[in-house]
Amino acid sequence: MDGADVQLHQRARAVAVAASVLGAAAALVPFGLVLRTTRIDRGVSVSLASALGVWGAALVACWLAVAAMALSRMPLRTRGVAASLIAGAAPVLALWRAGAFAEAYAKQAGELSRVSLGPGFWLTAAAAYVAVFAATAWLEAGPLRATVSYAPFAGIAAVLASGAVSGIGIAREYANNADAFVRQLAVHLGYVGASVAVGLVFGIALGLTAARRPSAEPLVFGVLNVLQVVPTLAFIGLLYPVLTGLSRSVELFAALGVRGVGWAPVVVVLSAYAVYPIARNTHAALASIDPATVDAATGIGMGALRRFAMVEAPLATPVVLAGLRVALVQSTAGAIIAGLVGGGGLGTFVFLGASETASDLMLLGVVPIVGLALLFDRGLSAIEGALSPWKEPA
Amino acid sequence: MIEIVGLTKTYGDRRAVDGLDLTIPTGELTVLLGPSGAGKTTVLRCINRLVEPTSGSILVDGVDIATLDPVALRRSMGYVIQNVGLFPDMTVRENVAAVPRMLGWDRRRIAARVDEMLEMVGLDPERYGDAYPRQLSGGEAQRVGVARALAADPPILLMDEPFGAVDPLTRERLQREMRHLQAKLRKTVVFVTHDIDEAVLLADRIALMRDGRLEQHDTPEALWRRPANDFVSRFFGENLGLRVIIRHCLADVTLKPLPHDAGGLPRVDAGVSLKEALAELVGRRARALLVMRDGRPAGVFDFDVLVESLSREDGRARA
Amino acid sequence: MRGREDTRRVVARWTGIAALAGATVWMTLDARGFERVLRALAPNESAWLYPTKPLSALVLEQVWLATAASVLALALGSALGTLALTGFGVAFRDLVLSVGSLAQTVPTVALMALLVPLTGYGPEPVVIALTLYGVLPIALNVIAGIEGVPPEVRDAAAGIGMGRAQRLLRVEIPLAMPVILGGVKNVVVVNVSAATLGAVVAAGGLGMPILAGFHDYNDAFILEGALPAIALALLADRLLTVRPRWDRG
Repeated sequence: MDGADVQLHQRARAVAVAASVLGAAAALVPFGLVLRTTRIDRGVSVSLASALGVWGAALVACWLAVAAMALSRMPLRTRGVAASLIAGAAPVLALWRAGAFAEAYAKQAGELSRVSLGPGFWLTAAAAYVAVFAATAWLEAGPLRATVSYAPFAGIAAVLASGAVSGIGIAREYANNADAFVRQLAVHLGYVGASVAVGLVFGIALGLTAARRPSAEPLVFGVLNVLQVVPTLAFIGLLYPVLTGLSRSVELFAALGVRGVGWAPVVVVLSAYAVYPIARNTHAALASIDPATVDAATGIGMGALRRFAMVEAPLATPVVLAGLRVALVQSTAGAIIAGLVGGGGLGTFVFLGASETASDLMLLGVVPIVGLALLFDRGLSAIEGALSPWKEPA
Repeated sequence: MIEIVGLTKTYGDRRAVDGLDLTIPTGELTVLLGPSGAGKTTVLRCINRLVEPTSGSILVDGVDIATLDPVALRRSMGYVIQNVGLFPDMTVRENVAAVPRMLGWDRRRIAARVDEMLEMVGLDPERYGDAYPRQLSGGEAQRVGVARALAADPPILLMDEPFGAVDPLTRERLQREMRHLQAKLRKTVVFVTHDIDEAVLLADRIALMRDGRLEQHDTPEALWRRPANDFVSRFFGENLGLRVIIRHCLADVTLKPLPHDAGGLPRVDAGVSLKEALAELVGRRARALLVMRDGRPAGVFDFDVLVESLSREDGRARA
Repeated sequence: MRGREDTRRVVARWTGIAALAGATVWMTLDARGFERVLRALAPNESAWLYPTKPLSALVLEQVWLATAASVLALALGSALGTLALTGFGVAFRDLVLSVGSLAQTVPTVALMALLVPLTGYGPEPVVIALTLYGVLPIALNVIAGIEGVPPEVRDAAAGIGMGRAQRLLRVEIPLAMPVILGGVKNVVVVNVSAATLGAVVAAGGLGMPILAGFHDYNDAFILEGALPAIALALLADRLLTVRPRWDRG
């Protein structure tokens, strides 16, 4: 182990302790759970520690244990595994017991009452993320580290699947809207899929064009940059008269359901945004290939097609994938706007919730959006890594 | 044999190559030498049609290459460049296998050939075969570049300042190995450099270029003894003679017979070059050296031997 | 050659900026004239100007929301970035980088909506959401910019006897400026754009007439909000697309 490693481990120590302090504070702040008599009542807040009783004490104990381990002289491997598992257990524990608390509260305050996860819970989740991030720095990269990193997600999934949290506000909203949720999730994914597919086709085509003819580069990226800058809502607004006119004058469009609002402007706008990151990365990937490599490929007798297939494409693919990743995350978050202009998707719940000030309903839309975006981000990062074994590992 | 006839390449107003006539004999290593901007690299890149000449033609074994498919042409020539140009996403094995794979060799033949090539350039296939280019030193990368160029056993090898980007010690080793390799393989090599020592060490013949034109094309010894013009003698400078003697080793020259009292003389192996032997004379302040061949005294080397061998060499070049 | 090319680029840039600024100011101040344009674009409507508020007020609200959030994000973000590069804060550098990419997964408008139960309707949730959203990109660019200063330049600065603070102020920050400014530009442009969404939480801004237009099927209201919103966003983008003189060419 060299000095840089030791320094890295020392630094992870400070981060883990800070995360523990944040976690303990999150358990103790007086807005861990929000108790409402009806779903749109403002409600009263209580701290996680007080609401969860003995388990609340256990939650605080988890964070103390993480801090103690961080400062201890335990072997790195044991320390890393134990601290990340315990920190990861904290939000799982909080969620599970909050479910039990919600059921008890419903018995006492009536069926209309709600228990919502408050900032204290979300801070607990954030603290767990930070603590696991720090503690896994004590482990070597490999299957063990991956397992302990993703164990908390498995825990959350298990708690959700067990039905133990069905009394919590967001789960109640889900139960009330289960059919609509599945439908809107599908619509949302449809927006993401369609816009990213369009983005891929145009992005790669334009990126290639810009790389092959430098004279076209300013024009391509000038236009894409302008599209990128136009505000979403104003973009949809500009399309409104255009698409309305199209659906009135062309029967095919009308039959397809193209209107000034609805799915059509959302797909157009999200596609326009998705082109830029993919085009930029395609261009950058091809431009960054060492000219000597291309020269050598030509010199040993590769034709243009073969050179592209054997040398340029494999070298560019990971970078293009990184652009695809940005586009995916951007579209997943951006598709929320469909809920505002009658296009459906998960945004429906967010804007409905916003108009009723029903946080749980908003969360029913936001949490899956963030979850999907994270999934896309991590998934594609892993693929990028797997496709470029020749690079320095990050 | 590569015949270059009236080759001209212009870029805008600039004539990079200007009516060049040059014949490169089969099985020899010809160095294109000259100051930067002389057009050496352009000539080289015309031979594998990475550059299309403005006028003139190039014939390989009597066939005008303009009539051949450039891609097929390039596969029949090895190509090594200064920046190596290894494919960063392929392992060393995959890099070396690139041309045989394109030629459709079967798997087993490729695997055997790749290992053979790596061993030939002094890289252990076990150790280096699965490494990626970023894990190699400059010298190692260049060896892989040479192995890749030779993998399909092309009769012609084009090399563009192949050792220009490595450190001096590694460069010297690579040059020496190149010399042994060429002695064994006898390829038709066209080698571009601006380094006089490298040219003198490696070349069977040197084609000295300036401003896209050929100034002189001859053996290094002949360039030294009979420079065609002022530019040639100025380019090589006063001490070309001192440089040329690196090409010959003690085993090649006629030594003086052993005297009776040879025991006191400094000893030197017959494998060393005349230049090293001369350095030995000067360094040890000796009048003569005892040359050892296979551990036995073979004769005596002194200044007279050196002078004698050089005039003899000259005679051979003239013939 | 180089000089003429340069001049042409500068002229093009400032022509664009002047045109965008002129258009914005004209739309904002000459309500009658703008109404005539909207009337020409959407002849079938019965009203052309959003009745609740004059455009000048909406533009001001939009600019105010974006400016407040940008200034706060800049202050907090550069503080965070600098902290993550110095002393004790170095421990948190990797964390900031990791969270920085994560934060982009939360839609801005969702963050605004979620803040409403805490802050109530109005400009507060917009300013807070946009600030939170902008802090990490600024911090990331400060880190990337300063870490991107070539080590030999750092060495040279130390070698001629500059102290730590002097090095940071006179060498590292100036050299990091293009990267930092790139981050500032992104954040400001995102804020100017996203302020349009403030209408969702009743913060005002140019989203108001757009949403009203969707609601009433009135093309003119939509365009009244959309055109100045686009002009403002492009103006911010053009104005902040700058390269220091030593980096040009």
